[in-house]
Amino acid sequence: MMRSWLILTLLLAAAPAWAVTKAEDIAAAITLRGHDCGGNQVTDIRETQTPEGGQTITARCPNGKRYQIDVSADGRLTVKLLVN
Amino acid sequence: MDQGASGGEIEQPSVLAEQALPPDDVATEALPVVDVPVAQSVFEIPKKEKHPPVAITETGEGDISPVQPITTQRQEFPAGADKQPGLPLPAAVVSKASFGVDELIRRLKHSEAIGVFTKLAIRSEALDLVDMVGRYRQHMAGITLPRLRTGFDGLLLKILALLDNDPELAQAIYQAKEQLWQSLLEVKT
Repeated sequence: MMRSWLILTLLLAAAPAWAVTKAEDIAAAITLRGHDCGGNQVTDIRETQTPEGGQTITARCPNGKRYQIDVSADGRLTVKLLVN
Repeated sequence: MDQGASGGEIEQPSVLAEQALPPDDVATEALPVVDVPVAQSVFEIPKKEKHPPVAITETGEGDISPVQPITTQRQEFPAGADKQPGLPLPAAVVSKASFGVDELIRRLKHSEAIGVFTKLAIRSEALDLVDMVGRYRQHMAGITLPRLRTGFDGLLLKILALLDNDPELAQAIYQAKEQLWQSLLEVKT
């Protein structure tokens, strides 16, 4: 327990004050790939690993749209709008 | 918090193909296909030859002989010369902007102003541009040099906007804009 706190403290100390959060990071990625997000933070993030070694994330933007972000095993990122 | 099995390591595509030059009616300038190792960087710039440039004079009918190497000297420009259109940039400005593109990409990879997914999105956008360069070389309809440039400028603006918290890197990328463009055109797809 003590060790976990120590690691967490070190991580927080190492991170700059303006380090981006995951919610901001995903919102920026969605916008960068040409989709409308309506803000700079997403909510309701869900992550799953694919059998091929990639990753699939779903998240909701401030404008209410829900997106699926697929990261392939070779690091290619694609964004799809999900129908609510 | 795991941010992806793909991690932050950004690698280049391994698809290599010799491409033909674009047709004259499409291209405004020819794209040289240089044997640049793609694995180094999407935006790699080929290394220049070490030999100094040589002045050529015509000595007779069709007889051309080298005279002497031209020495590259730092030129002094008046204050504000860089702001006047048509004048070359002062040497100090040029040398400041001519740092390695590799170094820029390394700094972008390690910048904490943007997250892992944003970096992957930037990489994917860059790879899309490289694909467009490949289609342009294959004379595909709709892909023109101005369109490529528009895509490149758009991506650059997005990156600069994302680097609000890393203004030094944003400035460095902006200064290397033309180098990045040239290296994109010279990348082997």
